[in-house]
Amino acid sequence: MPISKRGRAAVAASAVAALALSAAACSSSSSFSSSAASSGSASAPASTSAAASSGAATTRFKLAGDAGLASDPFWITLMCGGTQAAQAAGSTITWHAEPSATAGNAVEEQNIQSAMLDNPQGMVLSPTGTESYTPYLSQFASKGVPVVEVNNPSPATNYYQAVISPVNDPNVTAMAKLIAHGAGGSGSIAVLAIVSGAPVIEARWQPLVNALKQQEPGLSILPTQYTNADTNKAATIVSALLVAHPDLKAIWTTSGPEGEGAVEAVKAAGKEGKVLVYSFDATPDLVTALQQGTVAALLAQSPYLMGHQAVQNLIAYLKTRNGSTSAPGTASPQQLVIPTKILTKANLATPAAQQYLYKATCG
Amino acid sequence: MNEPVTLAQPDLDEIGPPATPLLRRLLASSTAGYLLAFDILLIAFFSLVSHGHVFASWENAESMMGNAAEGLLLALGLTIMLSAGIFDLSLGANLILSSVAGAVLLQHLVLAGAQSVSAGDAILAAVACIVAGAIFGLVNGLIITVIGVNSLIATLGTLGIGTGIALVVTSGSDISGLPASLQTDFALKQVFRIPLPALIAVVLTVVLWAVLKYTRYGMRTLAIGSNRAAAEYSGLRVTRHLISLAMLGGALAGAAGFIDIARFGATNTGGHTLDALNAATAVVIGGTALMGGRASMFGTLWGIVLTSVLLDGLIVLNVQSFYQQIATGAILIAAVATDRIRAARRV
Repeated sequence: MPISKRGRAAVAASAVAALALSAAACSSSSSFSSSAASSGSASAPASTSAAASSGAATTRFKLAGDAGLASDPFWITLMCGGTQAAQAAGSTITWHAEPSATAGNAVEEQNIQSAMLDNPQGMVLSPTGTESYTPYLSQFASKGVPVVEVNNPSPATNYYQAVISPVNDPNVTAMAKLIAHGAGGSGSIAVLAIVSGAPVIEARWQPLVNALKQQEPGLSILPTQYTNADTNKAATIVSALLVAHPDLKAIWTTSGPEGEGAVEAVKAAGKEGKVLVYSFDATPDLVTALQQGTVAALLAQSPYLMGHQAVQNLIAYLKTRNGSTSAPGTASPQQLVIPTKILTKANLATPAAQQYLYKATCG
Repeated sequence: MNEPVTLAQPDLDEIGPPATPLLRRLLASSTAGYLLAFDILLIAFFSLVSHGHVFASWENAESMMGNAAEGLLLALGLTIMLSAGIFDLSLGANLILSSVAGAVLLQHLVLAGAQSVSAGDAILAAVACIVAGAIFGLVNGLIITVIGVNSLIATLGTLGIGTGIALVVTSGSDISGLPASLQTDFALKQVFRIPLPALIAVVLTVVLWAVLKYTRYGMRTLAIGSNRAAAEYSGLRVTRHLISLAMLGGALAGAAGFIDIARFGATNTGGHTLDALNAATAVVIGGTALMGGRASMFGTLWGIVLTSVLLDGLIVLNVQSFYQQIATGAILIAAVATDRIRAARRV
C-alpha cells in the first residue's frame, strides 16, 4: 500500500527527531547537561566505570554537581573551577543546571534527582535555593555520598562542607560607603534582583541594603524590583524609577542583564554620570561596562575558587574514605570562606583582580 | 371603484434611527477604538495620581516607547500569524537566536573591544538578525504545514530548540561588549523626540495594517484564518502562504533581536522567556481572534500601549513589585471584560 504524503512526512519527522535525540545523548554522556537541549562538553573523559565498580582504594572519582543557572556567568565560572579541579585530580564531574531563571524549583529537583540516579561518589550542590532539598541530602547521606555545598547562605549542617562567601562581609560595608559617597550622601537608591524567594539571589542585595540602612540614614532605599534576568524588563523598570524619583542617585543590580538594562535606561534618560550603576558579580558584560565607565564598581565573589575548592576538598575527603559507604562526616573547617573583592576601573588590571573575573566560557 | 392610494414618498434621509455621533461610532465599532479610549483613560489616571504628575512628562513617554519597541514588533508578527490561524510560542527564542546570530557576525566584523562600528557593518548585522529570524520562521512554517503539527505544539518545540541552539553557540552565557555606537547612533537615537526603534515599529504597524486591509495578500491571510478548508478549495496556496507568514513573523522577531543587541550591547539568552506570552496578551486584548480570521493591527498597538503604560505607571506610583502583578492581571481582565460588554451591546 503506498504511503501517503502525510505518512511520509511523519516518517521523516520521526527520523529527524530520533537523529537529534541520539546526537544529544552522545554529546551529553560526559559533559554539562541541562533539562532543555544538551550543551557542549567540558570535562575530560575518564575510566569512570572502572573506578565506580572496583571499590578498592582509588583516586579517580565520579562526581556529580547541581549548579543553579546554566546561563549565569557566576555558575558557569563555578562549574569551570570545579571541572578543572576534577580534571587535575583525574576524576570527572557531571554538572546539571537549569537553563533559565524562570525554570523554577521543580527543574532543580529534577536535576538533583538525575544526579542521584547517576550514582556519583561525591556531590557538589550549588542551587538557587536549598531549603527544599533536605530530603535529598539525607538520601545522599544514607548512600554514603558526601555533599559539598557552594554559595548557599543558609546554615550548612547537612553537608560535608560549605564553601561560602563571607557572612558579615567587610566589603559589603565598604561598598555601602562607596555608594553613599557617589550619591553625595543623600538621595534614593534602587535595587534590582532576578527573582524573589531564592536565598542565593537575596544574598546579593539584602546585606548591602541592610548596611546602607544602618550606615547611611540620608539615603532612601527603594523597594526591590524583580527582572527575571531580562534586560528589557530591567530597562523598563529603571526608566520608570528615573521618572518617579528625580533624586535617584544609584542603582544596585545583582546580575549582568540587570546591570546592562540599568545602564541603557540611564543612558536613554540622559543621566549618565548623575545616576551611578553598581553591581554584584563581575560578569564579562559588567567588567566591560566597568572598563567603559558606565558601571562604577562591582562587588565580586570568586566562583572559580569556590568551585575549585569544593571539588578539591571533596576529592581529598573521598581519598581518605577508601570506598566506604558509611554516612559521611563533616570537614574541618565545616565552612570554608572565600573572600569577595570590590572591583573598580582602577584595580581591574591587577593580578589580584583576575581571580574575581567571571568567565563566559570555560578553558 | 377604489382609487389607487398614492403614498407620499418618504424622504429617504429620514428613514431609520438617527445617526449616532462619529465618536461613539468609532469607539463602539471596534475593539481597537475602545482600547485606545481605555489607554487614554489609564494614562490620564496615572498622570493625575503620580506624585508631581511626573507620569505625564515627555521623558516618560520617550522611555516607554523605547522599551516597548521590541514587544511591539513581536506582537505585530503574532497578529499577522494569528489572522491566518497560526500561533507562535517561539517568538522569544527567535529573538534570542537572531540576536546571537547578529552578535556573532559583529564580533567577526569589528576588532575586539571596538566601540564604534561602521554603518555598513551595522546594516549587515541587522540583515543577519532579520534573515536568521526569517529562517527560524521558515522552520516553524515547514513544521506546521508540511509535517502538519499543530502550531502551538510546533512552536513550543522550536522554542526549546531555538533557545538551546543559542546557548550552544554562546556556550551558555551571553555575548557582550558589542560596539557602543550601535546604542548611541541607533537604539537611543531620536527622530522628532521619538526613539528610532519605536518609530520603526510604529511605521511597520501602519504598513502591516495596510497590507492586511488593502492587499490581496492580507485578504488571503484572513481567508485562510477564517476557514482554511474553504481557502484551499477556492484555490489558495495555503501551505505557501502560511510559510510566508511564519517567515514574516520570524523576520519581525529578528528585527527585534537586532534592536535588543543595539540597545544593550549584549545578548540576553537567559531572558525573553515571557515575550511570546506578553505579545499574545497585547494581541488578544487588541481584538485579534485566537482562532484566526479577524485581526487588528492598531488593536495590537493599543494593546502594547496598555501593557507598557500599566507596568510603567505602577512602578511610577511606587506600587510594590508583588502588588504590581495583581494589579496588572486585574486591569487586563477589566479591559477585556468591559470590551465584551461593549460588543454585546452592539450599537
